[in-house]
Amino acid sequence: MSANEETRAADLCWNCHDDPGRGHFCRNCSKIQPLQDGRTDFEILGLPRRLSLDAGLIERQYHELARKFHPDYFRTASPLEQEISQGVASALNTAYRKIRDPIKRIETLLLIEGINVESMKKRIPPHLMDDLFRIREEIELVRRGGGTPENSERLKQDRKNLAALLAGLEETLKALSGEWDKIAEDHGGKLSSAASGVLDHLASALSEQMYLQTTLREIDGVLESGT
Amino acid sequence: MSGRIVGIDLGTTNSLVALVDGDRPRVIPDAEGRRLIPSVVSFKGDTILVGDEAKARKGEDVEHTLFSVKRLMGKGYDDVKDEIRYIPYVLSPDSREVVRIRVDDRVVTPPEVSAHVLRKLKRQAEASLGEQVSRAVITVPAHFDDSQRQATKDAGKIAGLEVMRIINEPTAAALAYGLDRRAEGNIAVYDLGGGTFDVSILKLREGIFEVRATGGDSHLGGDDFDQALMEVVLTETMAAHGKRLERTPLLSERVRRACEKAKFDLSDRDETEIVVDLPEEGGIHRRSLTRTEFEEIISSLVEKTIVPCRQALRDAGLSPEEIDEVVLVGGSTRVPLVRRWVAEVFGRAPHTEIDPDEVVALGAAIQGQILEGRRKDILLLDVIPLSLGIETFGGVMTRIVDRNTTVPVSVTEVFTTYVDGQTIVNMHVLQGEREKVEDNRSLARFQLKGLESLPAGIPKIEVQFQVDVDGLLQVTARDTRTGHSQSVEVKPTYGLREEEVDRIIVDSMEHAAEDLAARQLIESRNEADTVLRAAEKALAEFGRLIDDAERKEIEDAVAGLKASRATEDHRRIRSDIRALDAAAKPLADRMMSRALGEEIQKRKIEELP
Repeated sequence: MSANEETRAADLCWNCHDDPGRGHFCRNCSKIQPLQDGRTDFEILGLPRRLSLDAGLIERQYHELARKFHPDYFRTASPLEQEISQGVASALNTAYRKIRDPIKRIETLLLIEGINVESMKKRIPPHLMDDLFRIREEIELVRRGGGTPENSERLKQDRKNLAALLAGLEETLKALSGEWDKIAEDHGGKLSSAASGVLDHLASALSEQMYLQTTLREIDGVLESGT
Repeated sequence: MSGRIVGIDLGTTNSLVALVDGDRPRVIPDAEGRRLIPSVVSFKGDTILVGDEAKARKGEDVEHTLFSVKRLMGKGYDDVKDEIRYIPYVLSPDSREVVRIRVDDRVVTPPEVSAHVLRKLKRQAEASLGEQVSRAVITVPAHFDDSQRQATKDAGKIAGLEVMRIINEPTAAALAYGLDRRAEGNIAVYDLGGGTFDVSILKLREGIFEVRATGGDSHLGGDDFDQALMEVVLTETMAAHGKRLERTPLLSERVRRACEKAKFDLSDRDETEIVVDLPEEGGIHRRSLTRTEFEEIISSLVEKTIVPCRQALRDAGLSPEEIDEVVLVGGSTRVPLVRRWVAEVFGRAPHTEIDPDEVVALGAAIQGQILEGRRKDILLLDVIPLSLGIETFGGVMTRIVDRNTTVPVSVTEVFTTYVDGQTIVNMHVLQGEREKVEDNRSLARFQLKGLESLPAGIPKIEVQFQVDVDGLLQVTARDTRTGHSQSVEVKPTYGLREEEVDRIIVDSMEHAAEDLAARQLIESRNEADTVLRAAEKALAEFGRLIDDAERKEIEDAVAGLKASRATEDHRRIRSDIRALDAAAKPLADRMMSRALGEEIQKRKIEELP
């Protein structure tokens, strides 16, 4: 009972010490409230936890919330309110950055579902191991200035192949995203074995996509500085 | 503190102040009607000249006249040593963390010099508004780093201004332009000023100005055009006059002026003449200059702006065809070659309807209006121009906040110890895009102290990097095991310490007696106006309550105060205010008892059953 009251005390409005309700502003005194802990980036933006989200919708949602919380509108309020607005606006900006980009959105969702892709992205996709090792050596060679025109030519060809692979992966990710959304729609987000299968597929496709993307950027880097 | 928030464009060459009147921003001119105030400060004995008066001395007293100090803001000696040969300043030896300029026996820092310009603008606004101005939005180039932004804030503080917000110049320009034109869509702002170049790509939608990417070059501007032309002309002049002519700062300044004038001429003419006075040699050096020749001399400089433009487009994820409008900012965009390049890069003719010298200050004034809480329909969402990170093992910078991230932003990283029993962790904060530590800008070093003595890797210290809407970084730390906040001691690599800023403020108060006098004059005049209005109103409405002698005394005091109000003597104004107060006392007393009487009567009536 007392423990319950304590947790409730933390949820009370900092200003009027009453229950502020579930909104961003206290329902009694209308003062700005800090974000509740544990909110996902989807929740912060007021969006459903889905992967195929309309870009226009995400932007509108972000702008609407930014209009409520931006520190510019609290510049003459009390220092505490300025601090709260900076905190909420920061969380909002971070959420927007992660949800706006379809790839980062998948990464964000996977993390919520307990899969950390960040730790997987340095893993070389096994089926491309040989090619990628050779490309890496070639990049190093050109970077150190020891590359011949043939090396650069080969890298350009590799770049083309990788770009094609990436395009394919992005298609796969899009299809998997649709699958996930359908499962989430039908089962209200409860994890079925089908759902965890889709998540595993998403994770491996995403980590491969990230690895190839990094390699592609490295090739661009050495090719650009060489010319 | 309340009152209006003015917008200030603190430029390399010129500065100006603006304010929103009604719903339109306007530039506030000085008493002579001049809108652009040269960012020049000249020390003449005990007097400090600012603006045109200081600029006039540039040709005759170079050593005591400081200009282009914006290039030195937030910099240490190592940053500016390459530039020093172009700037005739003597630096004091202790310039490592902050450039210190020696003028005779006085040593000044760039924020102090800038504060003189800001103070002049502040007074200008006060004189025009008839009230004290103590809050401002000040603009900086978008690519200004943390130290340069902090130095600008310090300048404001020294000038007696609360800096309500530091905003980026191209963003401010977009705000003024976008509102004026009710623009929507993607716009590019190309801002080439006297000493700096910025490019920003923004998306405008229903009053939201969202910066998508920004880039630039902190050492590129119209000054460099002058410099390039000057090198050509100076070499010629010296060749024409043989060995007798020495390359003195004075000669350089004369040539520079002649070149600057030629540059202005060529903005709307195809040919001009450069004339350099050589009074000591009893002669003159003349040469004609065509626009084509001038364009050849500066073409490599203009080309240098193209790379940041392409980078900004790439960062924004847009192609040139997706840019709906291009806006030009900064006096150097008057150069026809610049306009042609911009048109080429973005594939469309740029807009030039708003004065490129004024658009930034106008935008800053609009931002001031937003911060006052008087405008809710528009909002700027700006970004951090350069990545922030820390030094990690091997002298490498590890990024914590990427460039072009929308501010405010907060990122938390967890750190631990390398050695058993380690109780202190040192951290080096950097800003920039390069891999190696030494290629980036060092912002600060800080120490986490008083950690629990534990085996290596066990302590978990959460370090939070917060970038506020001014683009300024703040670091806080927390020990996650104990939940205790850690003390973070930040030692800025460049810039003034807070104590020094405070000391300068105290010094400037002591030395700037005339500054204080000017403020007191404004305040006393305002008070006189209030008292006069009250006295005249009281006489008109309640004059019948007093006798003729009392009435005459008030009328005399009113006349006396009106006369002294026209003088510059705030002490006399104050003493006449007191005299009027005294003369009006009998009337005030009777008005008061009358009011009380009315009050009592009213209550009596209300109390009646």
